[in-house]
Amino acid sequence: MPHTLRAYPSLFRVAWTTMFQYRAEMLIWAAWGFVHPLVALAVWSAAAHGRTIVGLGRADFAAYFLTLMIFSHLTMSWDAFEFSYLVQSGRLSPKLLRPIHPIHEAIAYNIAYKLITLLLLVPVWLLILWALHPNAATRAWHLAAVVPVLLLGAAVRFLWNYCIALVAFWTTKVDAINSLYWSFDQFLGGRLAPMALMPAFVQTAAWFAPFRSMVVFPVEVALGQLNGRQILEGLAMQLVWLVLGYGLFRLLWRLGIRQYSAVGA
Amino acid sequence: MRAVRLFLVTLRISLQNEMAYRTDWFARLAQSLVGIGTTLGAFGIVFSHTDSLAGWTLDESVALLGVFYIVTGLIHTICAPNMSLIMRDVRDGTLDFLLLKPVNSQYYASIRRIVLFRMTDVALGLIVVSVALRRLAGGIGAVDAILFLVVLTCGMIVLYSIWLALVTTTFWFVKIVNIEEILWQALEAGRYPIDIYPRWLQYGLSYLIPIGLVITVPSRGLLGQLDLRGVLAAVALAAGTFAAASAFWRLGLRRYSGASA
Repeated sequence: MPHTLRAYPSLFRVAWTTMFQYRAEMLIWAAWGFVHPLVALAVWSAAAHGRTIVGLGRADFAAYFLTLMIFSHLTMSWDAFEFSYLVQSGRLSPKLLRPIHPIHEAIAYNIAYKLITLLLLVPVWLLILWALHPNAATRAWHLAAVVPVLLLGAAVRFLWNYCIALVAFWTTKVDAINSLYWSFDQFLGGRLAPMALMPAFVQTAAWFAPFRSMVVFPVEVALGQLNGRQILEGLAMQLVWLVLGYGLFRLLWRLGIRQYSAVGA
Repeated sequence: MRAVRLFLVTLRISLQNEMAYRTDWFARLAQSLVGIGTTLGAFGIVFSHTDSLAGWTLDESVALLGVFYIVTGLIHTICAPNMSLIMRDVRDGTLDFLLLKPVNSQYYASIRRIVLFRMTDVALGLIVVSVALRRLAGGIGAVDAILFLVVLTCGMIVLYSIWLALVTTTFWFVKIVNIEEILWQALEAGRYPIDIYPRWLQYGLSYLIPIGLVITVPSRGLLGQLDLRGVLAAVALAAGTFAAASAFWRLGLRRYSGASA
């Protein structure tokens, strides 16, 4: 492990320099992060139409989807799309020859991407915040609690996304699987609506999938919707999904790497 | 006549290409079904809390979703693949081969590749539309059907022209490869009626990147809510943007300096 950690500064430097070359492209990709939450916000504002739905009014929806948008970017990961390309093109092979697992490079790129895009996204977020007048019951301690919760959420999302990516070892076409994963995230991860508006069976199902731990739970903490006990329960859930995700990653990698035949070699 | 023959040849080659990857059709079908299912589920959740979304009922919104899939399917089939080919050719300098051919460059550049398996989206969209229409009023009159087709065609021409104009900017700014994502992002907003958005965004989606014209307005035509004046405006807009985009394309071509430069 120590030698892996020592590699991080150089991994990160390479990632930062590479990504900085493509900063305009990255911002265009990052703009996707605005689309779905803002569309969902428009839908629910139109549906509420000046009334409240299950106690939620326009300003509450604004707070929810704005926080969702920011946290979704901060926990973002794209390996499910990237990895199949590495397998298909055989570009994974040189990475396997290095004395360090390819996942570390993915982590370095992930962090670099977020840092570079943040420089431009933060002002835009503030502008939207100012324009939408959101309403939330956030206190100072919620903001303190959200830091570990958000970091764990990012780790869970990255690991599970990486597990989905590893399916590419078996099927080189992963688009259909990716869209299924995305669809589950829409319902169980609170993308379409705050969990309170979901049908009861969706709310129950959300406890049996990792999506809730990734973005919605941190959002609920930040908006001050949970008490101390609920936050601790959520944290425990996050840890469970983190451990399960890590186990699955180790298993899939061990089995998958035997499948890998370096297409293009 | 030669233009038609050229199109048919492209069609045949595309079909031959895709028959080599037949399983792609199933993967695509699965992906489209998941996408439609997700949006229908979202509609289900929204309409369990309200009866109308900015004046659109559930069935009307479903009809609009069908139109959304018809439009995006057509774009994926013929528009987007050719537009990214143009960008690649400008970047690599291989546009030379296209320019040397004795046909109109804009025409040929727009029909070189046809991704037929994306027509599954169009088929699914048609099914969704007809189911929604049946639930609404038991069908659609001949006049409404014609108006729908006219407005849809106009909308597609406008979208194609804007797409071409955006791609033409690569003659000046070679570097940004994913500029088209901006159009996909705007299109995504068209999954719902544009009436749900704040006024300024409605204007943007009507005049700047007219997703409204491509999806919401034709849907109104289907639902029999369109008057002749709206149709004429759509035709005029289509003719205008197409002429402007062609002029811009020719201007861009003059900037193009070829492979060896």
